[in-house]
Amino acid sequence: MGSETEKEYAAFEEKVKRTVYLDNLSPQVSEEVLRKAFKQFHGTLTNIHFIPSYTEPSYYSAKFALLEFENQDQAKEIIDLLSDFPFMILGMPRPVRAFPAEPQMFDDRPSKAGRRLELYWLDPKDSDFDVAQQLKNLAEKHVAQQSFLLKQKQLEEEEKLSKQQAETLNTHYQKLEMINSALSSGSAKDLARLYGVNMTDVSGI
Amino acid sequence: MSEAKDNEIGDIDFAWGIKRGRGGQKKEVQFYDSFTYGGVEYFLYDSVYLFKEGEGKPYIGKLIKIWEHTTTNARKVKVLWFFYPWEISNYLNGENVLENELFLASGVGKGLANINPLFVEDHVCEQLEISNVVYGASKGTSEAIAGKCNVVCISKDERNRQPSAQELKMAHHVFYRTFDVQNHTVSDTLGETIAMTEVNLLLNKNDFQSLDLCVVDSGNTAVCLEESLISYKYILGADGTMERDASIGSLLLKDKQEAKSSLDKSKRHHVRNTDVDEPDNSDLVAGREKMLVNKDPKGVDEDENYDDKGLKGDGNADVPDGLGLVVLPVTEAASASSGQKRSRAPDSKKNDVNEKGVVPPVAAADNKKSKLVKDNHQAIVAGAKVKSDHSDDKPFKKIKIIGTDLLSSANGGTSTPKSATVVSNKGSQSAVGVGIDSNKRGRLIKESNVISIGLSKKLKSEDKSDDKLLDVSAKQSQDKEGSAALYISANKASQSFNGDAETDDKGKFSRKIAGTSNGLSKKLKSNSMVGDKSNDNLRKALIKNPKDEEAYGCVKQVTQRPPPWEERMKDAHDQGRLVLLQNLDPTFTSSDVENIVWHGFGESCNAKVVQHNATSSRRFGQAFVIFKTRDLAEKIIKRLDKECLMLQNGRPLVGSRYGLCFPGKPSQFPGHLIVDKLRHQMQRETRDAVSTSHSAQPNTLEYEMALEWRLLQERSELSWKMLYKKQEEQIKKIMANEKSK
Repeated sequence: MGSETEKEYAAFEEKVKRTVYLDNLSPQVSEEVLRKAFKQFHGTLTNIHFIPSYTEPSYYSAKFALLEFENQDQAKEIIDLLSDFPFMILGMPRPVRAFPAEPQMFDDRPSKAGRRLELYWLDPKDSDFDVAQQLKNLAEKHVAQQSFLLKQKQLEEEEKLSKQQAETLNTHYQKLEMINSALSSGSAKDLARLYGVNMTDVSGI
Repeated sequence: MSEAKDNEIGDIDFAWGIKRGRGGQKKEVQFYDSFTYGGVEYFLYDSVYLFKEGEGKPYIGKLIKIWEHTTTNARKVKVLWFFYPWEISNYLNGENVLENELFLASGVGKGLANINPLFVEDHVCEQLEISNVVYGASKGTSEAIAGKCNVVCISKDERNRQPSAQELKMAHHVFYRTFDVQNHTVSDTLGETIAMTEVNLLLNKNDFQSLDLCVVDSGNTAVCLEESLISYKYILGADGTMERDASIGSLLLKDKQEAKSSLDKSKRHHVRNTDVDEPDNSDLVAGREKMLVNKDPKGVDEDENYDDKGLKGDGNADVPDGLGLVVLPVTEAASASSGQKRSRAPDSKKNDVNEKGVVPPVAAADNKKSKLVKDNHQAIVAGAKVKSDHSDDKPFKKIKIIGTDLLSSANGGTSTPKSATVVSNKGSQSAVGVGIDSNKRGRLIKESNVISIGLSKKLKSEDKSDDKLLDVSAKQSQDKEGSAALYISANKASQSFNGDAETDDKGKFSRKIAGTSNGLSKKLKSNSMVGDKSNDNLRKALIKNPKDEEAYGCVKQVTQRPPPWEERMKDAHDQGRLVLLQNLDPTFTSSDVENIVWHGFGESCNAKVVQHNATSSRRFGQAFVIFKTRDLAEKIIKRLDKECLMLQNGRPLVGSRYGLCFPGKPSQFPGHLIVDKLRHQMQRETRDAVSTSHSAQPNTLEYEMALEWRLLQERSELSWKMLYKKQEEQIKKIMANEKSK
């Protein structure tokens, strides 16, 4: 105990500091993908750990990952970069988010040195018992609320936005296609002649 | 490609096999049922790896026609392609995909099949009228055959011989679905003909191909392995990217665990070495292992594999020699093996390295492929060299030559050192595994042990695949036959080895090119933590899959096999022994939770805290607890419900049965858009999906959309914050009541 665990914990904390938490990852993203993606950046990636989500319902498919870098500066740099410029991995345009990692994101963390666990069974006759029961119920309620928020608000919004963007994208694409075909088929030229518009201004023909 | 051209065509190790018939308008076309290339015999309807020049990832295809123009002497094969899931990810639409699943191309159109010249040098691209689905054999840029791939068909079609568990274990890939290249649809039904061949010919053959591999010359293997082991270590040392757990001396100390791990690692299938494309060498190494595998198809008990640790000592003793050899230039053989290995996970890379090491140094001696000499490779080759000393140099040499031929990218050289090393590691792991087995069998191959041990040390691989790997290797080491046989079988062995690894490596199946061995992330470490259990679990899981009707839907979202904990959790959940504890202090660790349970209930358990993500409440933590019996779990839940177990800060512990949701189908991920029209063009060209990670430019539509997403993300973050705040207030209110009492 003692210094051992303290050292361990200190090392762990240090690791946390230089780890970046990434979310909004597509479920198809693999470790390889992440490595390649972050190779473009300045830092060196030492470790990648995906956070398995057992409590999230299966319809929420985004993945989360913890990226460990060599030192804290690199991690910070990545986080800043990612927040300034939307970075997309394996698909667009949903960008990934990066945050500095927190200890709770690691599941194999060492115990904090010097912790003492207190726990006690509450006597039913104790006046606080009711309160405790209430708290318990409340806790469960909260969990339910969270999952509701996740599903309803977040996921729905995401899907909505995604649909919206898909539509926009498609219309843009069609527009461009139309323009392209008009130009290439020469009908644009004909029209230009008809209307007496100078076509040389149009670039990219 | 230039390297390939360096070798005279006459030198190529090629021979026709069984004839089939003649065809063509003037009977000038001779069809064949088999041919031998690079020491490996390829049969019709075999699945092979094909490396395209400049690409590190191999394609997999089935040989559906083999022929030679008697007039022009052009040798061609028609290859029916398999698609990797990521190649057709756009059309999968969130369907479940097995880790090592492939999709057989069907229908008509571009991407169904290619006609490739058998050798890269054959630039004659003729299109036979026979095939109407030709995707233009490219001039000089067609894919080069690089070894056999063990692809097992797991379709429930009645024409398909259902594979045994062993086969599945050894398979590199599985397939049961087809992808229509014209309609871009995935289908379970195989139909009658695909690419003008009857489907039943494309299904599992009725003979166990993998089992007819020759025996490995155990003596040679041992020596080589030992040497390679040493070289491996050496290499690793040289290569900063490698994770080295122990010094050479520690090789001996490695316990089974590591040996297991290493085997696992070797099992790691193919390292994708973008630069290294030396199929033959890996074949060679693999072959050896394959031989081992074949020797004993039955899974060997893990324990068996780990005997003869003492032998490791011997191996170590030879280290100095090995080291010397290590310096030998790693020949293409090494690189080839790594390339061939195509490990997808970093671990596998390591394996490959070892494998390479095992590749006979003869190749190194030849120095034909000195260009591929990399320190790492060298070591490996050195290892191999040792081996060759004992065995025939010829086969290795032969293979080596072939390897060079098949080298699609000469760049294997410099750029590959790391990757090659990694790859070799993988190889060596396999080799090591092999060694161990042989030792077990007859203590013939000490070096193998050493090597495997060393490997395991280095790789800290997962335990799961270890036993399998060991089994495979053990089998092979027993034999003492001509090296020729060795190599040929080695090739096959490696295939099966890889397959084994792949099958075992459920989670590790990473399809992207493994950059460095850094991939050996803590995942591996945590995996090895569980040890034996995972092996059992893995075995169980593996065996479960084929039998399970739902197996196809068994999705592994994460690229590596489900961690042992997940397995246990699943089991516990099924048996009702799993409890979800909530309202914990978020700073608790898993052991804290276990302590709590112990003190509170007097029961022991296994706990794991749930990792937070950005949207988790900072206020409390959750943990999954596995109890020994279902009754115990129920009892605890009841007690938690009725009475109040208070933790610090007046939090009552809440326990429940529910809340466990496993990562299910990878449903559509909202936010990634594809323009429909562009999909058609994306078929085989989108191999580089990996490289599409980028930042948006401010003046593009993409950027604007990305910003919209950012906005959404921020908004949802805000709503989470608000929710938590409200919850906090509610709690405070109640606790205030408590205090006031």
